[in-house]
Amino acid sequence: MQIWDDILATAVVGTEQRELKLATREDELGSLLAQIDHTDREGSLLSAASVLALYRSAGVAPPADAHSLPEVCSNDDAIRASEASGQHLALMLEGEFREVLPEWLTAMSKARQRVPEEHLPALLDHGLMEISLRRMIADVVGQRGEWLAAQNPEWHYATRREDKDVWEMGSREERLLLLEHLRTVDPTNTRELLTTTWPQESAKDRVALLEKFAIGLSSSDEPFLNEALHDRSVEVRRAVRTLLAGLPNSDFSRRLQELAHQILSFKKPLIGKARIEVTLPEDPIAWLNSNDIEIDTPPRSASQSVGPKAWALKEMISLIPVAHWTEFWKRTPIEIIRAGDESEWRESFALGFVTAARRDRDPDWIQALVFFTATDPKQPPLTDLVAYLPAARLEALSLDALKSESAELHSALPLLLAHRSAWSDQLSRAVVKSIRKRIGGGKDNIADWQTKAALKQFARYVSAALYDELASGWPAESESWSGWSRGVNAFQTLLAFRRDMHRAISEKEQNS
Amino acid sequence: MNYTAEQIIALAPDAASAKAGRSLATASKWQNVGQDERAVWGECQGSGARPYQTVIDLSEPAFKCSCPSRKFPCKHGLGLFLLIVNQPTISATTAPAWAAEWLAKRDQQAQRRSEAVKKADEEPDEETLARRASQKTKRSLDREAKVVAGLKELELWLRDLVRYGLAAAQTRSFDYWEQMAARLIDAQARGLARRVRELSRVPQSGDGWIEELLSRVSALFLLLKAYERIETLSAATQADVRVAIGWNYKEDELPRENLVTDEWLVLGQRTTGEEELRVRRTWLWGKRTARSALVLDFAAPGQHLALDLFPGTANEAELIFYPSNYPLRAALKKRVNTTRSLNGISGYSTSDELLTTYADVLALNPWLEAIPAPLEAVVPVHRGERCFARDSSGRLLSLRSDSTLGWKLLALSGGNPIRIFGEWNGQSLLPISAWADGRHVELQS
Repeated sequence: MQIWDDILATAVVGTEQRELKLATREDELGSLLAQIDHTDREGSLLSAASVLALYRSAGVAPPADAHSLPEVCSNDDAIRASEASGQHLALMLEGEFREVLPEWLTAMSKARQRVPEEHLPALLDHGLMEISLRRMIADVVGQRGEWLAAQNPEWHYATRREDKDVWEMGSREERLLLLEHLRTVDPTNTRELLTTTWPQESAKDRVALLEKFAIGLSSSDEPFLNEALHDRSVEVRRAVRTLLAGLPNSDFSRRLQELAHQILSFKKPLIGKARIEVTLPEDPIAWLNSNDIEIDTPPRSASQSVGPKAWALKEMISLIPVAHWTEFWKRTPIEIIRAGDESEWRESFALGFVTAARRDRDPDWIQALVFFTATDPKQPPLTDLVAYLPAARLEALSLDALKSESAELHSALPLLLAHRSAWSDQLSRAVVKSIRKRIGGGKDNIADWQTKAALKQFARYVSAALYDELASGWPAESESWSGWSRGVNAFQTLLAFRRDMHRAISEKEQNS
Repeated sequence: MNYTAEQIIALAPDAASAKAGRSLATASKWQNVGQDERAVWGECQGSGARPYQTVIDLSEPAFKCSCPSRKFPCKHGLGLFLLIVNQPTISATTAPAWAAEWLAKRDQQAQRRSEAVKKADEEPDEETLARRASQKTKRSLDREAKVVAGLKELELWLRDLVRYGLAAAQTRSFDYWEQMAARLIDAQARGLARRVRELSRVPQSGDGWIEELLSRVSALFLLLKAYERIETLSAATQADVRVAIGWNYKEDELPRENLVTDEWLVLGQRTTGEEELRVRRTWLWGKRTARSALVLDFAAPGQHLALDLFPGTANEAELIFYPSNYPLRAALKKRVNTTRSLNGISGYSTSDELLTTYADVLALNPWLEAIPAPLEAVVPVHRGERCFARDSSGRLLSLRSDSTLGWKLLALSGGNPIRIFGEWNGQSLLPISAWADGRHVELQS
């Protein structure tokens, strides 16, 4: 309005430079302004401004919306999680107990509950950084979460998108996660999806995508892999060989096994130890190549210490499924490992067997390799191999290790540390019992600090339903307790949180 | 009443305490937990040799803990409180000596307080009265003189500001504003000092800053002019002028006719200030009298905010209002009972209604900075980068919210109309709580 603009113009440059002249008005505002003493330059400006500022403030009219209302979110069948669950989530998103967020998301999704609305933005934001949680997050945000995510491009991962669209337009991480997921549910269709874009993928992406093929690998993948065996990229060809090696009946595997039979034999003399005998051709790499088998050339750094023959043998062994040898020679894994160790090429066998066993995730072989290195002081320990054991085997081996009266807890420790999924009630009890026994008696030993450090991890996997039993009854009266109380407290706190979060979810389930 | 975990978390002095409290809310951390009708107690093993003894008087609630923490309530108090809310099955027993002792001491204090109140109500003799009156007069005359001197300086400063032009304000240093504010604090005019301090941010606030600065500066001038002729104003307007300048009314000096008994619904809370002084604003709505009230709580470091009014509850209680032409500020005098309910509130059904009220209130008290604004049936919408509440007539009320809060409101509504409660300052609404799908959700905690 004109009067305000006049006042403002004077105020900007100052009354010293510009005198305020007000237009007269025939209304109440005008008569109010007429009372102002204009001989006082500053005073009259400030007075007029105070009147006009209030006048304008009282007359503010909000603008009309130029757009129509957003589409209303449809109703949700899933029930809203309880207030307590919302708080658990908020706590985890703030960073406390964050390691159990995947467990919480899984439990929510199983109970068909959805996240309370006010927590959706923070959870959707969390998925921006934690890409591996996105699928789980999308499962619990409900209709409301999807509705919300559709309005923020950053959150599009939580909207129901066609797999095809994600595959064609998603980020590298998203696509890898999609492939991983699809391979677990429908390997065949996944391969067809992959072939739609395969020629356009970069070599780096082809390698990354092929790595996901290890999930749900079957002979139906062979034609595709055979074609990729002639890829122009060295890295891709290497990845394909590893996959084909995982298929014992593939053409590639069979040809390689044939060649191996020509140069290896298992010899058990009447007296003395069994041994794998090796007769290598003069140039084994050329020999393999002439038989249409490509293997890696030794890296320059390795060529100093490893001869071409040892290298070629190691490569061959790594590309043959370990189970093949057990079957072919009718020997147990440990017998074969020992016989390899007696050979003049023992290092090639040791490295080759480990690589193959890890790829095949063959529990018997892994177990034998770990046992072999653990019982022979000359061997470097292979404890990290246990991480490749399936959960059921870890469970059984841990229980065995804890069962014998004489056994110390530390023999089970590597297995327990590798066992990163829900533990059975039986194992949960056995571990806690054995740690309590450890605290209760005996001098400190080197495994104690490892156990103390592991307690918090154990709290993630022991059965939360056994909370009452596992959280109480610790030997607080023991002499060594002061060294343990911190670790045990962390164990109890995390376990209690897990118990609470499951309880909040199941109470809501029962009440609705 | 039954407390909810959310209400307890709201008692935490800061986020770190809330977190620590939550991690202590597990049975394994506590020994000898017990409760009776009035209190709950327990022992928590800390880093020391002896466990900390924590007791909560649930009738207030009030906390006592033997830990050395300066925070209040401490994490043990919060943890124990959360524990009993999560596991309400703790059986009733008699309080151990250490807990009973504290509770008894509280009873004694309460007794002494009520005796003191009784005594104060008795008529003192004439001599005492005269002495008190003369002391009081002297004090208030001293202060009056200080304020007058401060106001004189402020007026000169304001006049200089417009003489040389507001355009120059953008180049002024921080000290330029701060010195004037400090001078006003010395003059015991805290209200003015705060307003001057706020001016310093305006030149950097983007588009329209000059208009904003002029409005604020002229409002200060209006306040000075009103004070010059304060004797000619009504008693209520005198109170508004004095409060805006920085006088405080003592709660026990408020006239008894300002008492209002009603069922007060707690619409929302927000706390400002971090380090030095925390101020919590609790907005209430009287169900029967259909009026708003604002209860302020203050906490210096080491003190806790009053733990009596929880958002989302209805409290049959007596409030006493501070004098004003548009009385909002009030103090809680007596609470009879509390229930969890927010039924019976009726907010503004259109932005027109809100703005008409705001204009009326400006006429009553031009220095009031914000009015309580419950908006019925508004749809939160994003327009460009900003967030608005769209009323039933399609008008947009600007929301003062960061992006997370904006998305939170959107999530709560799902495109449906919801109730948003906030503070309306004439230009935009600061959202404090929302009511959607039968649930009350606090937005500023």
